[in-house]
Amino acid sequence: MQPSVKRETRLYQSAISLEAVFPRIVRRYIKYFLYFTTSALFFASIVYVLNYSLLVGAFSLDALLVGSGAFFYGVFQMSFALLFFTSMLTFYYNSRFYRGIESITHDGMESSTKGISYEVGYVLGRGYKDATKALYSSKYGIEMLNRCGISREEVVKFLEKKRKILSVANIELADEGFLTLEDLAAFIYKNDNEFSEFIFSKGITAEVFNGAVVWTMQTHHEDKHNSRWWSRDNLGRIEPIGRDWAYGSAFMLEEYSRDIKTTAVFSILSRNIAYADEKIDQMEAIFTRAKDANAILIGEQGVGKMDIIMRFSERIRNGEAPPSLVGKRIVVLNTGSFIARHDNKELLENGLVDLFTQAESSGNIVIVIDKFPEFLESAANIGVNAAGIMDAFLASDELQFITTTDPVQYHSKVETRPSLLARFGGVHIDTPNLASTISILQKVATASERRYGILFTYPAIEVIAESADQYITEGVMPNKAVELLGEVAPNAARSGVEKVTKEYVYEYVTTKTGIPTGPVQESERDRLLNLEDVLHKRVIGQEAAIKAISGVMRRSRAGIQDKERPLGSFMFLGSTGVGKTETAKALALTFFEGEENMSRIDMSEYSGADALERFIGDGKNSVGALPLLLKEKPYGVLLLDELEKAATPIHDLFLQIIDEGVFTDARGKKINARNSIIIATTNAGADIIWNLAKEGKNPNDVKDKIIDSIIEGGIYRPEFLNRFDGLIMFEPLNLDDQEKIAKIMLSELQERIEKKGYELVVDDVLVNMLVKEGYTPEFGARPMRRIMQDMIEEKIAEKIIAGGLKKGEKIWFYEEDFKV
Amino acid sequence: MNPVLFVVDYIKWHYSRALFDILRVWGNFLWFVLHTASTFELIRTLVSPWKRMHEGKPPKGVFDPGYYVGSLTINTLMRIVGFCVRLVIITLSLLIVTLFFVLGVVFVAFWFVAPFAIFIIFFNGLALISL
Repeated sequence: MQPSVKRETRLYQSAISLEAVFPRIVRRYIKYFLYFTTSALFFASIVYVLNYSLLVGAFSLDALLVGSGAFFYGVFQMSFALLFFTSMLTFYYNSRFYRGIESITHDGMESSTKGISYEVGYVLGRGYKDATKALYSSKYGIEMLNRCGISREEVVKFLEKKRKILSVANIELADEGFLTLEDLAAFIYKNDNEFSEFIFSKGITAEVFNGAVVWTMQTHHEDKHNSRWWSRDNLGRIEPIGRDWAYGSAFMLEEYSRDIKTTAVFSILSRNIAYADEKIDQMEAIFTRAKDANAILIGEQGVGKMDIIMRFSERIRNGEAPPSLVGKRIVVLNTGSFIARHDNKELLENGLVDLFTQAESSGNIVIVIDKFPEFLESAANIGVNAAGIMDAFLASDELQFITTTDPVQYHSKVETRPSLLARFGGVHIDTPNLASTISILQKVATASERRYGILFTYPAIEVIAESADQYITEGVMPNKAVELLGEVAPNAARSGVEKVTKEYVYEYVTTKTGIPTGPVQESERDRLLNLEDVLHKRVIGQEAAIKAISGVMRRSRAGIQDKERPLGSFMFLGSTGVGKTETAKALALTFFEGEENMSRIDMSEYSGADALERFIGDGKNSVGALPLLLKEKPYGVLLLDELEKAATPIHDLFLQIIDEGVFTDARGKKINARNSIIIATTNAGADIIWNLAKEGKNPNDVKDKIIDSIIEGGIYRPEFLNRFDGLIMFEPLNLDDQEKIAKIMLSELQERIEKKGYELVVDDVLVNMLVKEGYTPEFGARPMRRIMQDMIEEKIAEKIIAGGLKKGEKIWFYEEDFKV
Repeated sequence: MNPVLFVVDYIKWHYSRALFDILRVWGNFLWFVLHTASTFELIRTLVSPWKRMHEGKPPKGVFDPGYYVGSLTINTLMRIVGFCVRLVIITLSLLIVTLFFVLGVVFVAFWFVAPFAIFIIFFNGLALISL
């Protein structure tokens, strides 16, 4: 028979009506009361029977038929009948309420339930013809939209508007499968255009909407799953009492180990995360091998290796694991305290042998050794070959090991020892993708919500995941996202914020990192729109250059640019002293609130054979200049002076950095450069630009020719130059520009002098002198600074030291002052 | 709530779906007892030494009859202790399983008559107190 929504809804009607008239919570308290009275009256009746039997000298139930005995027995019967009646109603309700739960939570019992879930029945059975109204005026629908960041009032306003109605009768039910509320929400979103437009108008995309719906329902499903204490999954959580007697006790291990439960960072890997399940399946496959059934988990610190082991142990406990794993006990060896207490060679050797022998004779133990290579190294420092001692135990059927390591240590310390490697099956735990990170965060957020009484919207969670990935340079995902959430939650609670929105998260991340994130704010908007003017306050001339840079930076901030790249990457071409460094400083000031956030590297220092080693570290002692700078200033301008002079491997390195925003240092650590503006300056092509300028041509008009000649000269490869967001030509300065620069320099000097208590009069005499003496078109504005020092500053110093100047006095210069 | 519809739906459920649910939950409880007592594991290791405690072999090249007698005694004792304690738990768990089984049978039997029986019991009780 073709299933129909109407008929399926009817299935739940009685249970839903029962819940309305006689709610669950009331039933529960009545049941508690009846349990108590029924048992008390039962015992009272027994006492009557015994008493009477003793009196008459033979067992007799007659006492229950007369007097107060009959009264107690009668009330007992009534109480029992009521208790059973209430229980029957509860069973009936539960049978409907939990219908199909196995097919949603996958708790080991495969279910082939067809039809619709209780929640769908609840929503559609409320008598509305309009499916959208039925869902979004229900508690589930309101919660879903609340998770999207849309308030109840907004929903009500939308629902009350005159709209084209999506009729409940239009909902189709497939022949196979089970219609959940998630499916219904997706159906409405797809078929009610006005509704999806309303959602979109709130800035919620289909993906975000779906995420919010799934999260809302997942929380309900999990509560539902946990409340079903009679399910095999929940009953199996109780520790078996006889297991220790079937197997042995490892006394020494008890002292130096702890339960896996206390070791996991966050119990996040819910049964629905396919990623974790895939890894656990791999572990199970290793553990069912006939030989060398030990696992090594390889993954960055913080990706959740311990959580996967914990979930693995849960599977064993719930009887979901293969038979060969039944009864296995997983303990984490406390390697630190073990080595500390066995601090000489003989003691440690004997200690390890005893520890593993005992564990082996127990027969059901799986020892977890976290940071395995480090453990081997600590033992080696005392002179003990721990791997050698472990070898026989690793080969044993009676004892198994799970070890963990990060990829770098794995490659350098484990892979290099083939005999040790052969004893393990490897499981690579990669950094989870954004979707997995979000589902991990949902779990953590739900726990935080209960703790702090706040609500996270789904977009907020999404922004936490993205921001942690993009802006937090220390640590790995998903750990840094979990940590960021852990900071946001109490902060919101302290500030009295009830609903944590994405705007709140952006604000928090901006305060934490200093990087403007999220939608562009008013003051920043002005700054960005007028970026040319802002930069021109510091940089004279260079119209084309400033315009190009401003365009790129606006695109970057608007989020149109690829996020997996640096904030901006430019190559500044032009001769010396034309404003390249000044432009970099101005960018640091504009985007990172201070010139000090510009790191400058003189690339001519990295031209030798050991250039790369000094630049990204040697993997041992030196960290390397670039990782160090990016660690100190993760958010800033990185100025690479005279990049053409650096060795070719360094050019290759920047190919990757500019392309992906990250690179791997010599120690194998990923370094993030996505929060930097990378500026390379070069003198390559300066002579061509200079010659063009002399001929009165604008170098920007023949930019391609200049680039071609640089490539032909073999200075840079075309693929390298193509990586930059902009190749910016800086023109030689003309006399007018020089004059403006002279004025800026003099006004800076004026300020410095004023701080000393004197007043420098800046007039044409000073400006003309500076331009006249300092103007050398080949070197741009640079010589002017030297002239200012030699001729003006020195003369002022002489005047101050000679004592001829009183505080507050004006300092005048005349043409004669500069005549030799 | 339409009481007639409710009663009809309830009775339909009571004699169909409910029986499957009861059987499943009953199975869970029986599994729970056996799992918590680790009955099958205890049966498998019934004659192993208690907590696998035993004396090992003597050091290589040493022949000491006393050592062999000693370890034989200890190992036998440990096996006897293990056997006794395990047998107690196995017996207990099997008893509880039997009890659960019998209770289950009683429950299912009562379930069949419950819709009528509870009214009879209730009014019987009412009659008793009005005696």
